Amino acid sequence: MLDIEHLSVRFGGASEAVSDISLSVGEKEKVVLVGETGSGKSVLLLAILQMLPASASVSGRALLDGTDLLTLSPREMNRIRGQRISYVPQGSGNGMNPLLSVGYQVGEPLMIHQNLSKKEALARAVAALRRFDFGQEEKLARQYPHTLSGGMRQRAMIAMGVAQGAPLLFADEPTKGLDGHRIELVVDAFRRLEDQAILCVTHDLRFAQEVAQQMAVLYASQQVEWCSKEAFFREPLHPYSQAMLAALPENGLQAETGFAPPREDSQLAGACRYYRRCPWKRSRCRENPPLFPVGDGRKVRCWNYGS
Amino acid sequence: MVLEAVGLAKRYPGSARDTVSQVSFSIGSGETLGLLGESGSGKSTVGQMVAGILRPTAGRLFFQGEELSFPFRGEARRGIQILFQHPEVSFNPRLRLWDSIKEPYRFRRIPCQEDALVEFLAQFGIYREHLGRYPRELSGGELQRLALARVMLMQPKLVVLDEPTSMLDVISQAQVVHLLEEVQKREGVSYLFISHDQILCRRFCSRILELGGE
Amino acid sequence: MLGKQPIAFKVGLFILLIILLVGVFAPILAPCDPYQMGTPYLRPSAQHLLGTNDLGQDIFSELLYGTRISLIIGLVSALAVTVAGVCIGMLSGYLGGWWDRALMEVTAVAQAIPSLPVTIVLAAFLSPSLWNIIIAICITAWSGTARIIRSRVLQLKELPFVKIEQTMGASHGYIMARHILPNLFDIVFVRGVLAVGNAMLTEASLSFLGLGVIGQKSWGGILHYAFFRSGIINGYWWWYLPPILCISLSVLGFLLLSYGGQQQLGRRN
Repeated sequence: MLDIEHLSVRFGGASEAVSDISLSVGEKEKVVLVGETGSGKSVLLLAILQMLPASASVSGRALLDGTDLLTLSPREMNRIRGQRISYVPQGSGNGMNPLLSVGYQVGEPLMIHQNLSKKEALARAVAALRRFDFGQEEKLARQYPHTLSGGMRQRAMIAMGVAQGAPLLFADEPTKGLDGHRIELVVDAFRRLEDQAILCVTHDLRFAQEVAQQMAVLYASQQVEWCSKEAFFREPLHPYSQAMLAALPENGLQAETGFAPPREDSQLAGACRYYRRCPWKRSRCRENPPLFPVGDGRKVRCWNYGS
Repeated sequence: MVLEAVGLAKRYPGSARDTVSQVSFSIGSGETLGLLGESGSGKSTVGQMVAGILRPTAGRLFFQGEELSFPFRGEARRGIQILFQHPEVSFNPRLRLWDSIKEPYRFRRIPCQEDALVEFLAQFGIYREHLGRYPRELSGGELQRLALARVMLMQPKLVVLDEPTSMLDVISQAQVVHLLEEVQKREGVSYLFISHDQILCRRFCSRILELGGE
Repeated sequence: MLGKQPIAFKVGLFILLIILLVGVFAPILAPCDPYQMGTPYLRPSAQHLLGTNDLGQDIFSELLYGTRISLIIGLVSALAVTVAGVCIGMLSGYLGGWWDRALMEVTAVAQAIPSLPVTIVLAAFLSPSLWNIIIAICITAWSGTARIIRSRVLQLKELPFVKIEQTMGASHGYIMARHILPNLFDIVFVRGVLAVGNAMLTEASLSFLGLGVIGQKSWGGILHYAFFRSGIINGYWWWYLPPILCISLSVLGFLLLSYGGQQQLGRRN
């Protein structure tokens, strides 16, 4: 459905914010991108949606059912956003307009894109809210965002994203700033989207484990692994993926100790970006590896798995 | 006994009900007490009352056997420190980190020997290269380690840890937790560890106090 | 460093630099002594670029000398207004409680009073010296800055780095001076620069009404005489237009500088 090939983003003359990302999202497939803050996750979503400032230059391809989204005009893209792809931004539901009722906001895209009357749109909004089992959906539709908790707002944002039935949903850090029970609410909302494909970026591995089918791992703006969720949590291949899993509290909070000083080393300019932290580093790694296919559709950016 | 809290309660001005009420606990020397609760349970409010940032509406606090009154002074003021959830705003954005990290010397009225300070900071994985920069140029993990170093320069008896790893990625979280354990072993400091992560709490704390939800 | 500034900032700075130079070097640049009397009501000529006024004084030289008084009053008033506004806003926001209530009452009163009429009444009753004019301009002008500073301080006070200072035992004075004040720089700059423009405008209004500094040339003063000595009725545009342009240009300069500074600081944060 969505095929991203060698996508890179650069702002002005600075180094790449996103570098060489290739992944695909099938019909109804749930894909989760994990990576630490600043690894360029959010930029990727915005680049595909053409929502980056003009100073950004995007290269590569993003094919949606065969059409390259990166070549579309702003007007054509506007039609894609909302009808084919919906987007739930970061910020635990602060993306809602505080002056409009929840129902109006969920129904608004329908009035714009499908020319529904306000009444019809509201009815569809209530139906969309009902899919997430909020309870008392009619009352909820009349409420204003500030009367909801952060988790409820995030759920309402997701409802807003899927109300018009776009087949693909982009979500940016849907659990950021939420805890415990509230994360469960978001997980539950995602689980109800059986008919939608999802591309979600997050730093939360536990959340990824709950909702993902396919996983992409980002390190320092670069994709380092691409595999099924089961493969990732059973047998991660890239040393960074392994380090992340080992560091989870349930796996014993293991982490490399001893911190290297942040010295710039010009010799490492073209090296593998994980070089400094990698336990397996060798001379070959002074050259940045490509994504090697390793069977079963898996890909890893590490010299240990190809040459 | 480093700290004892008896019947702590807090009601914010203009609020109709207590955010927290009847919270009692004690923390022994070199011990870590976990304070577990979801957002809205008032766990941060308890932490800030213990750290002397908020004035309790009711209840009593004892530090090393002596009753505390708000605002804290002298030994108690220096002896109870706090580490916050958001490392990116734990340092003055207008100061280079050198200037922020030297402040404890000023408040303890002892001269700052730069070489000794640099050596001390190396235990926290912080180097001279970090210190010439501004807070926005460091990662969350680095800033949180530096914030812990600054707290430890005050030589406290008790540190309130208000979700110190919840904004960090998993690897930085593990590193900060290890560092906290090392520091405790070395200095014998006590922790009040506030978190919403049950697994992390069980792994890190000697005892856990659970606060009720909304 | 200047290369990266927004265009508005650079244009504003350029205008103000020229005005500043004109003010400083007025005695060198002026072709005549502006107090020297001669033939009145002369039209512009090579000898008198902008003609002469009702007393036969060279209007062009008057204009150059007028830059000085406008700038001095503008800058000194703005400094006083900004310092007062920052101090009151910071004390009120940071200390809170009783301090906050008292200071905010005073601020509310200062804001409720219509500022220009009060300034006019004050200027009329005080003897029209330089310092009294400045006092009249400043008397209510600080209140807006105080309010904005206070609301920023209320936000800053809740940030962890300020709370950490408190737990380390830093005094209120130390926290305000070292940790709060530097983080107010952008507001102080934007408001301060705007205040200069406002003060210059108020000074021109006072002088136009004949309440300006006695015995000193100022742009408002030139306008005053152009108006009351039939310059405007007779259509002597070389008399009344140049001071209007000078006032407008310098206010525009400060506006651009403030706007550009705001953009630049907004971009950096």
